[in-house]
Amino acid sequence: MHLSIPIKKIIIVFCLATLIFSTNLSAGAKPRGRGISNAWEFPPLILNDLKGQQHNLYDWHGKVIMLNFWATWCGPCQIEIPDFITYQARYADKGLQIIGVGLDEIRKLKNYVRTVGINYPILQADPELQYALLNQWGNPYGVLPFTVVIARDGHFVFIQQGILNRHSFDTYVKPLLDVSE
Amino acid sequence: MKEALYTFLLLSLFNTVAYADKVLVKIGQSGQVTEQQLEAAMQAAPFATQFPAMDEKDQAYLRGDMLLRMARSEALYQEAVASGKNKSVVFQKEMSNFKTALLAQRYLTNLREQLKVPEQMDKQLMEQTKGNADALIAARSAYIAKNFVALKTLDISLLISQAKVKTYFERLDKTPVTDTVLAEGEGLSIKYGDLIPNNAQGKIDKQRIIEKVNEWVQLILTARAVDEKKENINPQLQEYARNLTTRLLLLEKEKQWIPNKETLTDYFQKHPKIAYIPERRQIGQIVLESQQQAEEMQGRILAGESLFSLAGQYSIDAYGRQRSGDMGWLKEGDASKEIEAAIKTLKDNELSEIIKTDKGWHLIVIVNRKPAEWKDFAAIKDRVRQKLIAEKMTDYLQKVMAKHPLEWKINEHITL
Repeated sequence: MHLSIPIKKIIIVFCLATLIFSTNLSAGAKPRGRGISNAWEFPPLILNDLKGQQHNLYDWHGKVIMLNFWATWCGPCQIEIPDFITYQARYADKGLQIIGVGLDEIRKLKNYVRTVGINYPILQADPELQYALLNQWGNPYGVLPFTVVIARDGHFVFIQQGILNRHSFDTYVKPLLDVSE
Repeated sequence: MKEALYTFLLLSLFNTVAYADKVLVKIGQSGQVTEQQLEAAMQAAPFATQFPAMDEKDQAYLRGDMLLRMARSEALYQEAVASGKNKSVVFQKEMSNFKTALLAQRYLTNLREQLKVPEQMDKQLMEQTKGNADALIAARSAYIAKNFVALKTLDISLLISQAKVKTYFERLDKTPVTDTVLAEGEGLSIKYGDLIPNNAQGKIDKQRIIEKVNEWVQLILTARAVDEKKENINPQLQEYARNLTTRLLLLEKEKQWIPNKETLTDYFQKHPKIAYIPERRQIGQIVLESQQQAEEMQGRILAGESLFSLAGQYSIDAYGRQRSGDMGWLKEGDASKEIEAAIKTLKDNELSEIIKTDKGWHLIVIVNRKPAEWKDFAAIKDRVRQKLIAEKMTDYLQKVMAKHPLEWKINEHITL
């Protein structure tokens, strides 16, 4: 219906087709921030949840955090979210904390959470901030979905542009949890 | 009834728990739609990815709509069965072809599954891709794909020699008839008539026929090599049979409704409006919350400020504000009647008067327009056809539904 430049489309294309890569941070790359390798050395990430209550990512420090950036229009995001729900249910008491950052309208995010039954906190960020925010976290092209794994002491363990699959979860996240499987 | 449907749909919205397979509606003698079927259809629908972000009411509407469609399609299926469409020769032949193709596909899938990346190779790939999970998956697939082609070629040539298949393509150079055998082997014979319909005329495309024969030899041999009992193909066969049965009925109906081109031209004569494409306008808009504020904005725009940048800041219409007032291309008649009336004589890039609607006080500009036009028959033939079919279909569906009535089972669930 509308003519506005389809930035969203461009992102979707990225989102679906290209530049999907993941990085084990011990092997080199880092989120931006001039050599910062610890999330708590970043400017604090402060966002509202869907009820309008403010949260600081640091509130969850000490846990193994999977910080997942997503949007309701992003198809691949919808593929991984059901897995995240399973992880959160299964490993919550082993120290896992998934945090979703929805780059979308609050109404849509609320509907999504209700429909799919997301069991971890969802914070909302203005879609306009997508590039700036993702760039800051090591995702210069603004690809969604995007997930940053932060260890208990805040250091970055793994970043994933595109879908974070079970293999990556088992390889990079599970060893940080209190599990002896 | 509709209310009950709504309530139910609201209540049952996407419980992610496994669905007990409850019957939602019964159709005619033996048809039904169950909760699981509805869920599967919802997840396969084109709107499935947008669905979770929709409001509850919209979701309920879509579910209700889908359920009705499924019930209707079930009624059509019942009607098709009643008129023997699943006993026809065309049906039998197409089912047999489908089964062959399906088994052949299973054969190839099984063959592929035999391939594994050797352990040593896998270690190498893991090292090369260094923690890049997607690259590792891609590298493994590439390895399998490369080896699969070689394995497949070898395997099929083995099957061909085992069945002692001989081809007689030179027969295509003379005048082949329906019974001309083009390929033959143990328990296999492909005739010219299997590929070319009896009434086909014109020159033979020899190369095309050769390709087809080879393709069929492969399909038949690989399908035969599969142990049918181990492959659970029944669900797929049944689904295909259902769709085919209904499709054959609808094809027959379409032929009855549109026996020739004249039917379409007649219909077009009687409904000339089909050819009318209304004017489309690219519209800029700012909506404000009071007359006073609208007057202030009007002043600022007339003094040279951009309606679009002001709309991006001040418009009370969330959609418009997000898009900086660019409402996109709208057809004449799409807007509310107050707006339509006010912009009827508006020139391009001219600011409208302040327009009051129940949404607020609007200021509008038309940036660009595509004029209205009347298309000729040739350009909209398909549209005429669709309209005519839709019209006939509505009547026909009513008859079919009367014959195979719906019995809703939804009330039972509301009390649960």
